[in-house]
Amino acid sequence: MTAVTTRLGLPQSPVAQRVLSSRIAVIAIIVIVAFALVALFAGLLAPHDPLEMNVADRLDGPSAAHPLGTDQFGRDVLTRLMYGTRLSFFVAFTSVAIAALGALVVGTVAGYYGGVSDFVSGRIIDVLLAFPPILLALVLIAAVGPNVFNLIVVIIVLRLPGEARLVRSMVLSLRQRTYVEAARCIGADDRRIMLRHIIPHTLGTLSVLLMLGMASAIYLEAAFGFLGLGAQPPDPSWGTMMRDGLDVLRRAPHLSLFTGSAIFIASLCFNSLGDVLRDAFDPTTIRR
Amino acid sequence: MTRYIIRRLLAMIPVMFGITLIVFVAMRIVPGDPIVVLFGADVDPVRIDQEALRQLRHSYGLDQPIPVQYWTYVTHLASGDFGRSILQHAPVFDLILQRLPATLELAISAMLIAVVIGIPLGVYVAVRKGSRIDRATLLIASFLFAAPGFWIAIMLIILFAVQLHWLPTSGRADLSLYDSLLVIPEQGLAPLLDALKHLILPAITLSLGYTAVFVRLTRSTVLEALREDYVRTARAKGLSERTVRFRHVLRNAMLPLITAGGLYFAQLLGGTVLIEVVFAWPGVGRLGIDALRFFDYALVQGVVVLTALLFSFANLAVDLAYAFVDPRIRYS
Repeated sequence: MTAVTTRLGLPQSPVAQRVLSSRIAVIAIIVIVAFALVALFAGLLAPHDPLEMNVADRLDGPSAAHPLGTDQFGRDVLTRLMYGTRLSFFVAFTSVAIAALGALVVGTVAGYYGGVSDFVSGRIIDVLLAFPPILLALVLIAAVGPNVFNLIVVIIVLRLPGEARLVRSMVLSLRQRTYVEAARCIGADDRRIMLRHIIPHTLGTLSVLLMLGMASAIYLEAAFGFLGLGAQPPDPSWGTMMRDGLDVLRRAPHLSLFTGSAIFIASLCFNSLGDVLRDAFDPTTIRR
Repeated sequence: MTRYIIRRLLAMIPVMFGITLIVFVAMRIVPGDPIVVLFGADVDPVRIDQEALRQLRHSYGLDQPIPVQYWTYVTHLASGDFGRSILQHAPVFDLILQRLPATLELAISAMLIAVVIGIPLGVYVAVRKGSRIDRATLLIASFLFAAPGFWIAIMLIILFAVQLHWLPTSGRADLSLYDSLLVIPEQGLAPLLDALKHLILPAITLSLGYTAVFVRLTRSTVLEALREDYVRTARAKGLSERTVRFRHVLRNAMLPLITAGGLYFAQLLGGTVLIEVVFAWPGVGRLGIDALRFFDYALVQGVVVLTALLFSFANLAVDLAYAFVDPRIRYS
């Protein structure tokens, strides 16, 4: 953290210290890292094969062999949750990272140069933001077909416009700063000004958005898997597992309970970390 | 003011144009054919009478080149004609209008719950900042905010419908909440209770996240307002704490709340889809999902365009409400 903040030229200690002095943030970071490790090493950690069916053990509650029970095909819920973490985190991370990067490029160019690039991107953003988000996603998914790759693309389309608009508004005000003028006076070109003097100042806000974005992307993946528009069965994802759980709600509520808890905890951690980061980057926040 | 409104309305036209274009193109890419669905999806495509198929396609204008179809659609739309649903043999506008009350009932109830609980609670904890109840409320709010709505819905169904048998698992009562109020003289309270029983779980589920947002937002805006000089002045001239809180603090804290309220209400209108699916609530969202499943082009387009229109008008209303609440804001 310190190394990163130094390289970006941000005031190094305050933000990192503020974040790390928050108990909530530390817990959230630990849980997220744990989820990430599970996602990376699901193959090594999982006790069973995620697709291995065993009709004799259908819908069993938690036991020694199956710590979180089994689903309607006798598959191990813990194992599927672990592989589901991999898929959910992969979808969320890829889509949110690409959306943020795209927003940074579009927003900076539009805000810095203005003119045609600003007008064209602005109108496209207007249209995309005028859509109710879930409906836009539904229509797009229906058009391109439900699968993981398309879901990632759709989440990018949902996130990019709002973030690009935010970056643009930050760049508009940063462009007027005296240090930007000073940089131009000593002969810095546009590229250097953008990379060294403007973009670093947008990263704080963007990191908050990244965290909130992770939470909402995990939710979207689950919601779309649940509607049958994301990952497809038998692939284990948190969304497809919620859908399986709904079918057997009366006989085996543990399926919905455990899967929902995983989504809830992951989303809670990203949200909390986002909140702490927002306070940490905001110099007017009074420490409580 | 009038000029501002006209300018905003004019700016909506290209946006709506873009929306129709995206939906139209997306629907034409969808790998499915409403005409085949009309004949029954289980029918072997080879055995369908090709001539009948051709005629039907022609009668809906689906044999025209796509740009021509789009042009026809947009020009009809401009005169208020949303087209006809291929599968339900009815004007799209009427179909949506039929379902709109259910969605509005759900969205308005959820919004009311969120406002009625969220704002007073936010004020209550703001003036007790740092206390145990403040911290507990914030913690619960962040839990509610993070919990996926459809999961909460399922958990509530398990608890109240499956285990306790207090409430129905899904669906809407025969009469709407409004109609059940009208029939009280003849039929007593039974229809009203039935309507409420059906409404309460979906409305609460939908409201939870928004309640959390309102608590947090009210708390922070009230805290900000409490730090202002005019609050110190009001206290110094001896006003009761009650008067200070309601007349000086809450009034000034309302502005961001109105923005949030309007934006979230707009979001709610488009975001009831998942809740409508989980609770089998017969609203516009489910109409759209079903239309999507059967490739009912005109219906999907209608649902999206109308919802987007509502969405845009809600945003405009928010901006106008600003000027109403804060006399310093003038639009020109």
